[in-house]
Amino acid sequence: MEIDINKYPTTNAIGDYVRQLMGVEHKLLATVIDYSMAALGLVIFVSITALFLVYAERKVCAHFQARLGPMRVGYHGILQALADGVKLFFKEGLRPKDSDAVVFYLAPMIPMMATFLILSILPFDHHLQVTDLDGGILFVIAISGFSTFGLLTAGWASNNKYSMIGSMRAAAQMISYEISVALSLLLVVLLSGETSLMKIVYSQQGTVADWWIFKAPVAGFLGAVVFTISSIAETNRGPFDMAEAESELTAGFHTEYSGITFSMFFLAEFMAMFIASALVATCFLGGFLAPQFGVDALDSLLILVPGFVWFLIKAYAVIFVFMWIRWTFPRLRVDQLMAFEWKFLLPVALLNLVFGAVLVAMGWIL
Amino acid sequence: MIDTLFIILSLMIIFFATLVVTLPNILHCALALMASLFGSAGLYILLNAEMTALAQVAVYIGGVVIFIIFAIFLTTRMGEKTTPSSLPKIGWGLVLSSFAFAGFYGFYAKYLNSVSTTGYSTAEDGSMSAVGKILLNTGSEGLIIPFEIVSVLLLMTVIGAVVIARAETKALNCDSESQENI
Repeated sequence: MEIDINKYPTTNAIGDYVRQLMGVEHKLLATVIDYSMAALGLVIFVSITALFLVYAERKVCAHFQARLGPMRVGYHGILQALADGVKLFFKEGLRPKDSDAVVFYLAPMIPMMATFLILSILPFDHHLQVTDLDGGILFVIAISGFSTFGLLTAGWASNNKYSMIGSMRAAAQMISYEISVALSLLLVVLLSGETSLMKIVYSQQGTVADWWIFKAPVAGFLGAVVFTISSIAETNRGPFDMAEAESELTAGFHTEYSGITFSMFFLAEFMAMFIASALVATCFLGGFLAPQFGVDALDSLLILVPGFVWFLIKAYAVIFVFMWIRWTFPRLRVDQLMAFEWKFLLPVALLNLVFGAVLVAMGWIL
Repeated sequence: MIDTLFIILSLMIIFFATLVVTLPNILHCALALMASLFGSAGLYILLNAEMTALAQVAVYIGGVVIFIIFAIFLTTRMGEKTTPSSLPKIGWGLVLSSFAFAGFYGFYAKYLNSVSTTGYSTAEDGSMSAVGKILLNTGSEGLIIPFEIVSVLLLMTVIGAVVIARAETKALNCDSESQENI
């Protein structure tokens, strides 16, 4: 099954209209409009996804603990997240006395910025991607290191011991687990021979067995597991949520944040989870490609569903696994967390990369 | 268009680089350094050197500046001011930087013709695949031997770092039984 990438429109109607009206040569205005539309689309996507993820987290958590969760606002509490959002907007933004004003307000913006930068290269569908970077994987690795800044500076600027300890823990944890994330992404680069996210998706065309999680025997599955574990740790979620261990540090690096600045951290954290699961879907689960089982009657039906629907289904399936892990495992101790990364996960990821190289060299890929 | 972008990026780099050496709060200096490095990553993108730009962000912003910030956290207190530069120091700085400026200006004035014609290259010299092919090429054009030597050097550094860190933790454990928390 060959897919023609150029078959789909890559620009929007307004941009096309401007090009027609002002002449083909007037590219600047059309480009500005194209990318403003893309940015607007991402903002809307982020807001809706965040609302949905907050609701999903509360409901999944509640059902794991044999509770009902939010039930009052709307049908089964479906408007609860919206109500919470409105509440956060109207809350007063407080800043502690003697805190560093510039850095205090700059810090929440940095993780948000990193979120939008990575979302701009995620392939949601054949044509639904803001830009396809040649070095997409390297870009992901580079930018995910960037969000560490927000946490570090937030803890420092808050002028609070708990925030400081929380942010130091968060930074140490994120820097350590980033290595495993990078190594398991490199495995995909090694297997597919591509670094652009779109091309990685296209390297998985065919049946379900052609997804990298199954196509490379053992190595693909192990890579996906290592990536999932280390990205849970990198997004500071339970059972690795040392940075905001409520019982030890009140709320860690965002203890002093309230109102809109707090909600920016909150949003960035949820979007980081979405990005991590979207990367699992893109690199290991065939991205936006419809699952094909080699049965013609079923396959022709499955391929009718648009690609972004498949992408979101896969991403949300991984998100459910993230939530499942969060609400069923107890929190690790700080030293256990570091020992787990450096003494177990990192060697496994390294050996897996070597194993993947052997598979490629011997041509043992299915 | 590209000229405008170049001027904007250059002004951004100069502005933040000036802030790095003049701001009173050292953490603000580190953040300004980050912004300045981001600007130079933008310059690499203008030159079509995508690989270099991404490596700049990953290594300098994601690595070096974070370690600078860690060092600041461990060594200074909040609100502590950096010592302002004395007048003789500023004078020496001006003298040295004007020499450097004169040198670069002389260089570019001499080679301006050959530099400006190649300008913003549209070739795929700096793309990921081109860099990869040159780095791992075993032929006479390839750089496989320097690449391997650099890999061995990096491995040595990593092992050295592990050895140093290990000796320190052993000494710590002898002093107290408690776990070292970060």
